[in-house]
Amino acid sequence: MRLKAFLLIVFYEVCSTLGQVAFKKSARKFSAAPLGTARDYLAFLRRIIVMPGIWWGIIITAVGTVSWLVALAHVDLSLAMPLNSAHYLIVLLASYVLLRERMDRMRVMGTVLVVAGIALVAFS
Amino acid sequence: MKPATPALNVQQFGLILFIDLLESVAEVCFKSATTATGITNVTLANFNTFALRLLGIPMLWIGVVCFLVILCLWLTVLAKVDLSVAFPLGNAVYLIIPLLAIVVLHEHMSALRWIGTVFVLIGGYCVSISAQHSSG
Repeated sequence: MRLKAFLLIVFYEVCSTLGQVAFKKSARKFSAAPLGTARDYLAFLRRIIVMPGIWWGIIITAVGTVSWLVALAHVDLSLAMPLNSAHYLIVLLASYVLLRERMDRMRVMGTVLVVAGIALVAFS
Repeated sequence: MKPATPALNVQQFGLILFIDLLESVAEVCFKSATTATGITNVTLANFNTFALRLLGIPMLWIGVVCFLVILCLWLTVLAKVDLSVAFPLGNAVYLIIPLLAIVVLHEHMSALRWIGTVFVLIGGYCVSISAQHSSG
């Protein structure tokens, strides 16, 4: 039962990461758009919501979310959340490999601290 | 040497925190909806029953609406901020809320939990001051 929940959560993490990569790839195309007023935000949303990448991201994330919901039916949120801390490392890796974001030492160290902190809180 | 631009400004950080809060609400809705199905062991055999009951629970839909709002806000954040910066800050609220419970409600917190919380806060700070990378 624990193993099944664990696998479901890992599957969710991978799906969710790929969804985030799809979102970022689409949003990146509008990185120069001004975002100050409510009107700017609405104009941005109108342009981005028609991009196929967004819909792929939504579908992949939805598939992952079903897996997450099934996992939550097996185990408590307080157990599922700490397992989720691995998520940060997967996203960091995906940002580097798939999105070619720059990794300076500060960013990697910060992410590792966040993961360690969540693990500590989870197991205290 | 040109000083590095921080990866995040105050407005973006505020948006991420708001998304965090909304996500906590959505997670609680989802957990409460799955509990309300009365099914604790989902298998292939009872998956249909589970899904059908789930769809009839209002809490699920409140969670779904929260997620739609989160998606819109999140896309506006991603337009400007690296994923590897925005994402680690995305769940800091799970630690900020317990911290508030301790400070405001005087709840007990173990030393280990304090250390963990400090780790997350320092980690989030490191990520947010890491240099901006505008790849366009």
